[in-house]
Amino acid sequence: MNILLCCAAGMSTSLLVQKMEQAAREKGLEAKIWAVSADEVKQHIDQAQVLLLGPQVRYKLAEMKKVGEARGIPVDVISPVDYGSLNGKKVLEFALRLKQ
Amino acid sequence: MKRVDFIYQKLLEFGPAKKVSAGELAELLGLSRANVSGDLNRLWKEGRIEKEEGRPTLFYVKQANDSLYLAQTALDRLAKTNKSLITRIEQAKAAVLYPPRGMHCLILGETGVGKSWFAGMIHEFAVDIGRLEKGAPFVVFNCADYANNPQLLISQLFGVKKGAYTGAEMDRKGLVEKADGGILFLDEVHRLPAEGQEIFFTFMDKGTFRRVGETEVERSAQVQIVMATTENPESSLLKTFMRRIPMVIKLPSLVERGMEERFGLVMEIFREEAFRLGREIQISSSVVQAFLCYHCPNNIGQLKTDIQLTCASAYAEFISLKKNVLHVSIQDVPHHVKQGLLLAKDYRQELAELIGTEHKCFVVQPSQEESVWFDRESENAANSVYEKIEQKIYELQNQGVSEEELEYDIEHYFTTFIKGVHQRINKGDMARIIDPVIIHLVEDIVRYAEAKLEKILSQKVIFGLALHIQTSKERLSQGKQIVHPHLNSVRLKYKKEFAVALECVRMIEEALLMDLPIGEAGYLTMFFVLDDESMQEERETVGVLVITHGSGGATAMVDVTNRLLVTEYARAIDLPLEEDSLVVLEQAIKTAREIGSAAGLLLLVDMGSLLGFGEIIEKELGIPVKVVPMVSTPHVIEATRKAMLGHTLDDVYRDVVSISMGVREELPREAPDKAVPALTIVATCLSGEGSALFLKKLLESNLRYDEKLLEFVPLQLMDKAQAKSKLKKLKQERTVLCIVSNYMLDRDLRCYSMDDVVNGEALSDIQQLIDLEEAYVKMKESLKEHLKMVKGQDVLDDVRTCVARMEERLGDKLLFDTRIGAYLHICCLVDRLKAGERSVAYTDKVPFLAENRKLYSLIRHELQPLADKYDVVFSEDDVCFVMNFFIHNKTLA
Repeated sequence: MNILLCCAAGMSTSLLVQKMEQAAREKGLEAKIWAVSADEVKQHIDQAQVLLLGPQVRYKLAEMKKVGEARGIPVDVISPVDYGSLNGKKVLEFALRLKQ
Repeated sequence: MKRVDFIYQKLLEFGPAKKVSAGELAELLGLSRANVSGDLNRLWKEGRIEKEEGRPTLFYVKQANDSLYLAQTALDRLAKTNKSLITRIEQAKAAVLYPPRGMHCLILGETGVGKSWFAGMIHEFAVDIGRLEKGAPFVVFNCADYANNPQLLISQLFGVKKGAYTGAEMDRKGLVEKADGGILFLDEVHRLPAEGQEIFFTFMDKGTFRRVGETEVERSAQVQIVMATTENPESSLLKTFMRRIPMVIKLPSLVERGMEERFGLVMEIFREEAFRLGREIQISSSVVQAFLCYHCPNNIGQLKTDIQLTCASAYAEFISLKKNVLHVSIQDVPHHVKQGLLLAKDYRQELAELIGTEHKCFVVQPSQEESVWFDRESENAANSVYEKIEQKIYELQNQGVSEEELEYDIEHYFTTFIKGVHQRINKGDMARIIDPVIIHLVEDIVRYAEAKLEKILSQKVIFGLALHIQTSKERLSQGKQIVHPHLNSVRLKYKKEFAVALECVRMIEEALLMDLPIGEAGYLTMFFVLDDESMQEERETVGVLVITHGSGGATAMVDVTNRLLVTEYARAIDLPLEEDSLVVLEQAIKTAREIGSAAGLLLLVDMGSLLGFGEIIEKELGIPVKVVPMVSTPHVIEATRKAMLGHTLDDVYRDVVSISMGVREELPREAPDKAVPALTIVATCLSGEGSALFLKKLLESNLRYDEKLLEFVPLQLMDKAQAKSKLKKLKQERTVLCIVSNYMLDRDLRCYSMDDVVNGEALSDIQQLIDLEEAYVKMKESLKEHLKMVKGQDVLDDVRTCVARMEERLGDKLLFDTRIGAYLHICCLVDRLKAGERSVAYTDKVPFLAENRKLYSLIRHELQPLADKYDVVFSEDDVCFVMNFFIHNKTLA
């Protein structure tokens, strides 16, 4: 499971990445989770199976969806509540649901 | 610095008294003797230092303008009375003394701190010590004047050659040329356009320039440039420009100057006024206090204007009433300055040290240097409540009221009485957090409403209105709704007030540049109406009735009380021994009907059948009655005082009874709650048990929330005052998200009607509130464990403040999504920078910056406090990312 996260500068999402990795370990799930800035998404998207956006870059959703759809990759925005509380478990579940 | 300058600097430090040889100096500075000797001789040839022939030859710095060098300069005198300026003054001196022509310097500071004046002081100093010749020019130029026309600005500064452009009919000198041999002061230098800054580079580097239109001639001028700006120079000036300004002097704001210096300034300004009016001014102590404590955002400049206004008002009175002294009393002070008195208690100690606590009056003489203490006679003493009471006691004593009746520690009562009064005014204390713009606006509104409604609005309403408008503004800019629950009935019931309110809404919209919903007019109407009603409400206090056996006993005690408290509040009935107690009961019921209210009645009686009166009156009138079975003057005073302040019957009763026991009963302490949830939603109903509990259950089952974080609290409304104080306590302990109630308990809190909750309309709203606050609380917790270099909870609070400032300045509130992201982003950014990690590059930074220069400087400016506090430096890229949150805020779906 490869999950790509994207926010303004890849700064805040990296915290979430740690939380999600932890949640994945607890689930016994093997996952590659990493965060990049919005500008770098194009270089990374080919390795991803799901792309999640930080709520503050929601404005990029339409653009990213296009990029994702072209490759059959689901794209969505993380719930601001889960994002703000750095709820790795919930975001991971969200990613898994998207992938299904 | 070149070696020769270095050596000169050293000699300057030594001063003209110490003479050194080349050898000594070489050893001291660790330079070769030959070099030092060469430099010294060169300096001597240039006439910058003196030489004393002999073996060895001694050198010393020239005694500039001989006698004056040692004399105190204006700057030195300034340093004496303004300790906070000492470093700045040293900087200024160094800038002037720096060879050969002084150093260019930049003065920073808020509006009104005295930047222009300080520049003038620099000039004066340079003349005083002989660095500049007497009569050397001091040329002032405000860059803002020509900011819109760079061409004109440059020609103003550097001059024009005839025919350079249409209209340039003759050669004209620029200000730089006019300032030759002196100082050029560029005020508001951040308004100097980039091209202007660039031309200055050359001038600052080489001392040469050309008039506009000139190509062949290169002119030169010897000018020390002093600049001033209110802005952060990092963001408002070109870096290349900043690099050429070696000396930056930051002047402290009025608040930073501290109370003592402020006192000095206030007296100094009054003295200037005294000089201007050519007569002595007496200033009452409360006026001085107000000027020391009021919120004065525009610093000394504003302080000056406010004092001048005050003096003008006092002077008008002096002339028109043909008084023989010019006395400035608190009535002369502008309203916003008066507010300072409300803040004075926060500075009690400092004020006591500075101006003492006894009522004194200051006198400034037009000629005298120091103001003198002056004890006033009691004729004018009736200024404060305290003085009024003092006078009253005096009168009472003169009228032969016995000492015994006053025996109780009266002073104790008066101090508490005064405290009580302050508590009542406390609402006005809010003025501290109210934007002066709003206070002015409210003054306008009040003026308009008073004229239209033909009545005077009380001070309370003015404070209330200001507070209300402030909160409305905040609520609206946060996207919260203002809904008046009974708009239509208000509109019908108070047609006239409503019409006035509508006009006021327009005034507010205009002043604050925001759209207000119609509900706002409903609230304003209530303010205009409430003023009368609140007086009725005031009557909703506990009545106090004293009945005692014997003729005249009760009347005497009540009389003393009423006189002392300047009121007619307490009532008395005497029961002469021969009188039938039933007749007195009739009388008591009659009086109780007059003074009793839903708040209840307190009966103070001495003995016997009177003890049973309480029960009878309670039954008869259907209001709560408490009986205090003992009575003395102190009891009556305490009861009356408390009742007047609007305490509940239970409170008044308890306090009065506790006097009898000689000790104050400790309030039963509530056990500290163990881990109260941080958030709460309050549901109310009359009993606190009926619909409030139902609402609580309904909310609990319909909302998603974390039980550890949020709790629903039922609140009974039977006693509104009590409900309010309970709510206040709740608010102190935790964040109250909203209230579900049909009665408006607290204007600051969002309130939903029961109907809206029951029919489900309000639920999604409340859910969002919960989500938002929960996210903050959790974010704080997760940051606590995840940030390595800084404390998560602190940084989040600081970031919230910082973002709030940005929002305020931009007049744009971030949406929930963006806001969460922005908080997290900035917190992580600070942490990363602190850890020494590199900033992430912002793609297309250059065009992005070019397009958003204003936003950049604003955001950069608002980030500065964070940078200062956490000691990090934000790169341009970092700032760009933050700007982005605001740029794309609106594009969010």
